[in-house]
Amino acid sequence: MTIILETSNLTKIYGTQKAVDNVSISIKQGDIYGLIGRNGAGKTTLMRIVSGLARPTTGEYKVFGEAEDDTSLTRIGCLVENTGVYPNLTAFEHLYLKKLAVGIKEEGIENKLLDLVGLADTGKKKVKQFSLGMKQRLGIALALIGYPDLVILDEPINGLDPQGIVEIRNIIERLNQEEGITFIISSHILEELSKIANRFGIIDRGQLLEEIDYDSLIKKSSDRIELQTSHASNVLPLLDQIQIKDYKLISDNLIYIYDAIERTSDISLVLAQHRIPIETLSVHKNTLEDYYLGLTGYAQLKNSGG
Amino acid sequence: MFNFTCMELRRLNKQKSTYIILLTAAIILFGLTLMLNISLKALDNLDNSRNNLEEKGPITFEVSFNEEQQSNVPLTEDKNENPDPEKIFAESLDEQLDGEPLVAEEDGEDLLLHYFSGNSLLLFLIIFAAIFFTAPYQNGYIKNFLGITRNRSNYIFAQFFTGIVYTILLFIVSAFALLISQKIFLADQFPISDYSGIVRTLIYQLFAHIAFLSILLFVATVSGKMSIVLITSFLYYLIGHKLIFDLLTKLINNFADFGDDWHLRTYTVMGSITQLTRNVETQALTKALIVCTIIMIVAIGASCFTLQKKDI
Repeated sequence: MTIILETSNLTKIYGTQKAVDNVSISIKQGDIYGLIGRNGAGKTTLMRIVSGLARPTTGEYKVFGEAEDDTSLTRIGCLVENTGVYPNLTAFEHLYLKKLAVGIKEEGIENKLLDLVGLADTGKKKVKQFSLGMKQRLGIALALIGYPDLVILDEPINGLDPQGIVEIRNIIERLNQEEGITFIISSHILEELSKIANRFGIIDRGQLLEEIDYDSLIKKSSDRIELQTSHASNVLPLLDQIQIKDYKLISDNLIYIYDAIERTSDISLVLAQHRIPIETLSVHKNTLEDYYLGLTGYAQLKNSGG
Repeated sequence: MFNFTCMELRRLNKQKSTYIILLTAAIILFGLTLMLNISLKALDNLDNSRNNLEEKGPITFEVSFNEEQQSNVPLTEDKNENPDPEKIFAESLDEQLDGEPLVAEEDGEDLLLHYFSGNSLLLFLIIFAAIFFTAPYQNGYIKNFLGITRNRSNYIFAQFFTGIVYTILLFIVSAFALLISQKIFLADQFPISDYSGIVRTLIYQLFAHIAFLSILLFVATVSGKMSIVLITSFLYYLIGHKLIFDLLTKLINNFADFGDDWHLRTYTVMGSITQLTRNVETQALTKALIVCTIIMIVAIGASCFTLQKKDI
């Protein structure tokens, strides 16, 4: 598949701080790319650079296969940070202004987009009277003006209610599948991101830690059985005995067993036969959040309840 | 650039402040003419009263004194020893106008043009620029469209062009407000006949005001904040312009002798605006226009450079 965006050692330095540090990512056409990172990790700065709002200190990026300086950026739509709006204008007028800026002649595109994001009934209501969620929707509509091939959305579901989150997810999926629009999305709601994105970039302290696709992520964060027993060392030969090879002794009383989710009954049976008491035997499902925390070294925060 | 200009013109049309500033300018200029009319009538009344008193002869008071007070009090008051009310009023008016006479010559054209050459319209231009030029930065709307072009200068030119359109509108509204109010209130005292002279001077003034607008655009591009544009511009307008350039002139005069008439302020936009009166000499006119052109080019160039390098 064609690579639509490629960055090469992008670095952005503010004063003495490296906001983005040698980031090289590649995004294929049709991807929904989830950018994951905590606050201040460098996600927004990276998004601002690739959407043409900030210049990298060093490094370069290519959009649609062309070098940055020769690229027409009209094929990129973006919603970076909060939605930029004029408080005294209506949603329609905002879209009309963007339409003029991009130079689109098509009549009625404003209403079409307002309908798409669920703001069709706002009429003459000024944006200053909008809720945060409504502003987010307007921001997405603004990003979609001009039929962009690449849409960059920074925290698009911030402030949305659960129903709104589902609606926005459906819109993104529909535009991706029907129009072939590529999306780069950052979000703190990792579970939500895991439902929509097919590739992920994990960024921390300005550095890209890992780029991973959905299938690999599922494989890497594969489900496991967590077995807690006071005789963990006695259990291991028994697991071998019933042909379970993929396990890991985590501590004196905890064993992780992989690739045997369906064999919990076999495990409990063999332990019962050998009179080994089971404290807990549970199937653990790894989440994107777990994977992210494990990768960035913040897992202890979760374990300590922080 | 054309697309951005269309967008900015549309925004100009949709912003309430656009109309509020124009309306305020018209009302204030109309009101000032009315106040001038009232003041002149008051002066006339004072003059008439004085004439009446003169006709009646010296004022005589009949005052009764007790024996102790009777010694040296004159019974006849000489009018010339009293302060002249007209003189006091004129002096106080003159003080309020910072030594500049309200009307250089007693004709309507100069009275009308005084509001332009007296830098009064710059106040409205500052407010407009602070609101209009900084709004896309302050509200963040610029993020929605600036990324679509490599050459950000296009946006600066679009803003500048829209600013020029607004300055023309401001001039038209102000000139009409003054013309109408002078026709209503001051037609007898200040008749207007030289319309071509007014239009010619207004065109020069318009050019100089547009040069000032370019400086405001630069400040707005650098700061992106309405408060900063307002504070810096008003400080410069009210205090800084005279203070800075008077000091610099004195400083330069210590090292080089350019003559008594030489003043650094004449090389500024506000100084040029003051010089561009109806009877401006060709040499002064040329100098003022050249100064404004150079400042305008530098300010626009600096704005383009700033936005090109700026992270949004």
